[in-house]
Amino acid sequence: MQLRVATGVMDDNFVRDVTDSVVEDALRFGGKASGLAKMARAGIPIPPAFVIGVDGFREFKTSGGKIGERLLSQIHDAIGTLEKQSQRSFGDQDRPLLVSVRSGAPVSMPGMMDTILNLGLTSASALSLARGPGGSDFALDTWLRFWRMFADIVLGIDPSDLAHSVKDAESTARNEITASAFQNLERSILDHIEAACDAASADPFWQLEQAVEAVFRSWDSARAKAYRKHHGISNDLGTAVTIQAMVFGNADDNSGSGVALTRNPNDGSKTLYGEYLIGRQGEDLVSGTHTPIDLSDPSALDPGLRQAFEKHSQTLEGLYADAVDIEFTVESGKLYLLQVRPAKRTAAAAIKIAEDLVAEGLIDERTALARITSEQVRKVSRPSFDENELAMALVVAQGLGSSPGHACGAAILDADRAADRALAGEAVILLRPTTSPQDIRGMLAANGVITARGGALSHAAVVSRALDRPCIVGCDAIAIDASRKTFSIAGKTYREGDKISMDGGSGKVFSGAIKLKAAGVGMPSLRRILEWADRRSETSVWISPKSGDEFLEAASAAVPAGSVVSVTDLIIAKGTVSRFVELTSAAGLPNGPRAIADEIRSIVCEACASAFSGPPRGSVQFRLPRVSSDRARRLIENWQELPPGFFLPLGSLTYLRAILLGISAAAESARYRDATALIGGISSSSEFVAFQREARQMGLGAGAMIQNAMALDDVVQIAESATPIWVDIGDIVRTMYGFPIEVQQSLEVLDQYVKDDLVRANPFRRLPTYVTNLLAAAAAAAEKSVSVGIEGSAVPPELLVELHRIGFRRFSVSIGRRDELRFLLGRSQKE
Amino acid sequence: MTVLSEQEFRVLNGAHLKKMATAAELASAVGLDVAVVEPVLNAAAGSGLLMAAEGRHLLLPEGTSAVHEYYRTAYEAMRSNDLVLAWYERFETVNEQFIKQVSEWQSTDGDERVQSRLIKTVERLTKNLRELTPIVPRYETYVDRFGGSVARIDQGEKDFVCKPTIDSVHNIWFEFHEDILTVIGRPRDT
Repeated sequence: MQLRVATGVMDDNFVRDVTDSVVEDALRFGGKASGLAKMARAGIPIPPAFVIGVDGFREFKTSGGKIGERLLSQIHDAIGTLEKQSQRSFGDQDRPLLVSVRSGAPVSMPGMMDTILNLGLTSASALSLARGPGGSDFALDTWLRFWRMFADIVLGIDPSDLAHSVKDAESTARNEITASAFQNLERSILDHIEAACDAASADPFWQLEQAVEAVFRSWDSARAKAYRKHHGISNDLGTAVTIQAMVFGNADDNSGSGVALTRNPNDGSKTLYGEYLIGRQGEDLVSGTHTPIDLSDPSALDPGLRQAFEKHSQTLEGLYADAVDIEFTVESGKLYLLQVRPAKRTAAAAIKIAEDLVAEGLIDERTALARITSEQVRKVSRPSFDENELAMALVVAQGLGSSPGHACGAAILDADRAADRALAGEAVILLRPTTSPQDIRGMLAANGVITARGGALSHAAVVSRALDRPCIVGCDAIAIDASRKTFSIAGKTYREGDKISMDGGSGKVFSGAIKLKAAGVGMPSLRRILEWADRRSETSVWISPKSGDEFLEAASAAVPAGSVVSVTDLIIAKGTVSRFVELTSAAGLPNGPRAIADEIRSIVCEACASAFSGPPRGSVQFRLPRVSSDRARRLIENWQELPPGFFLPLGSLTYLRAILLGISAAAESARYRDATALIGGISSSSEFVAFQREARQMGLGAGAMIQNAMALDDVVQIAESATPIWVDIGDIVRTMYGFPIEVQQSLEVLDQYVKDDLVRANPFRRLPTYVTNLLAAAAAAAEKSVSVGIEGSAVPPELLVELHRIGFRRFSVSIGRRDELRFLLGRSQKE
Repeated sequence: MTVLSEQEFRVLNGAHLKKMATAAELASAVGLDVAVVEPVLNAAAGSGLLMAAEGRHLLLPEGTSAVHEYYRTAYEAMRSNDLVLAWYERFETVNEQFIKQVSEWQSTDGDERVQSRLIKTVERLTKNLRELTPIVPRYETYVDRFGGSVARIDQGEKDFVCKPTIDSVHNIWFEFHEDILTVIGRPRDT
């Protein structure tokens, strides 16, 4: 961030009305005042306000940290103007002008002073307020709110201590509503403050001066200084102060306050949304003590107000080019907009709003993509229960849904056991009475967390939301017996390991496992956004499905791309992997019987058939099992006894042919003509040519999965036969570094290594130049033909974005990450 | 039953609150030098209090009992100390406020205003912690850790608000909450 200050043109006029057009200069008057000035110019009704520009701050600094006479008299004059505009007077007993004081640096930064509200009340005016329609509760809440904020922010006194020490005087005033009770309360407040600081005064002008000084001083708070240093922001920039008249929603029956959103924040539809509380201040809305009017109900609001909202909504959406959230107050029939911000929204609403704003011509497609985060895409693509199975599922318990999402797995009652079983590949749900920091390890490993006790505000819910994992708390129908490793619900006892399912949104717990499927593809707005992304990135994102179910799901998503699937994954999904492993190790030993090859062929054929069931699909490419892989090493017990030749890609033709025959038989019985086998681990084009001969003899296409630097070096020769080529980028980087697979699987370990300055960057997040150079030939080939792609299932998306930048236009990732990658590539595409 | 020295307690309490942590992570969590922490961990592994695997540490049941026993004897007086109990009552209020703010921060995609209120609450706790540090000096380490993580948040590293896998403000808070509960001998109920 580079901000320069126009020095030398110091203005003697430190204070400006926010309707003054110069105030739009955020560098001189801060972001808040600049926003108000823009609103005022657009005809938006705002309460009267003035701003002390950064020149006033500099004057304060040069006067040795004091508000000088000149600045002070200008503040007094400006207050006089506010009095005229609002027809109230500052410090007055009957019609007091109350103001808010806010900091306004050109860039908002941590450690700067927050807002002070309701400044201007005295015991006399508070009393007169108490005798008005709001009563003593409103008067005291307003008045004490000011003192708490003033004590906390300006004087650094703990506001709860203050509240505690004046409790008795407060309750007397609440009940008596007399001048002496109110004066007594004021005295108690001042006494408490004087005991902690030197001075205190009930004079509003003194309070205003203190508040302005506090804003100026907060510029030099340790946190603000550290922030500026980190971001290279000049210490001379300074801060402005915005002082605005407060308006009252409880003035009469023709008043009120509320929050309006120009679009529905849950689904993004273009309808006015929000709440309006007649005869009340905004705080009452937050406290939930009164029932507000629902703004989405067209008949609920006075037609004049509704019309005003429609007009202002349109103006503001034009100004912000976005859906906005408006805090407003109506005082005696006059509408004031207090604060406008881009509206908060759910992930689904964010996508819908971005789509609609493009259709309305407010933003272009590129901006729409920039408005959405990959997290939001991930959220709407999160797996959800299969509707048919859900309809038949049995709800066994109900808790407080505190982190949304669907999950199923084995219920495990201990965090360490949950972590161990998840590590072994099992889907688990951690079920605990409560959670402590000791459970974090289990929560990280689990697909979801359920606690029997605790309310919505619990550490478990915070941790789960941070991990984007479903969580249900306060499921008190569940009784856990840790020593027996059982839990019971409504008289029925379950054992640890029994399958359960959970909906972290509704808080429902089901017995048994409910099937999950990817959700986002069904959402029309997401589909549209992803089409824009694809068009921009000119990329096709394939998937690497792990089972026949994922194939079906991919096919139903109707994305024009193919799949790269590992034969071993299909065998695991089919449940025949242990037999396959036995056969593999037997096949490796010399003089294995002929029957082994036949059985391998039939296992492969059966597993691969699942890739062809269901509706027709795009290209399917089979990644062949590799005996030298890390997975094989773990699965095969006598791995060390296998003859070394067996570990080479074409080391055992009998084994290779048995597998190719299996794939070919599966394709043939499905009448599928376009099946391709991908060989991994090869290092030269001559190996590939030999493999291609084998595959063609079986009626299969031949392609290669490049996993090492030597093959990458030979990629132009391999690609000569226009075969599909995939570069497994995770393997390339890992082997270049000589890391074991475990390091690649826990990227945070490497991140820490980077922080410790032991390596320059995490190569799985940012490609080292050496690797980029190695990839140059493959990237050039990719630009010429479409058949060179990146297999990226095992690396983070930022690495794939980088590969896209150097020219790759085909990627393959796991099904759950496809939408996110399509989105990211489209968004990062430069013009 | 193994009786722990104060230093052993500090290190093993770190391992108790932070499972499967490395020696370096434990050292910074308990405010001791790695050179001090490592021998303590090695000795504890030798006497069956702790298990080490690939540089990460997990207390064994014996170690957990030793840590709990230390809490019981060292802080017995505090369990009936009105000052400490009153402090804890106030903490409960601040704790609720904090969790509410973190939850709101999460549901608003890290809203800046919510974030600044949340950090104010952290500052409130660290200020209040100064009242306890004369009695429990090791609580100074929590103050330092909070300060370090708030600085990271201020620099724009929002993960330091509540990401569970790093020394985020919520993680430190969560550990402190467990710590103070054990000090005063109360069970966790949420």
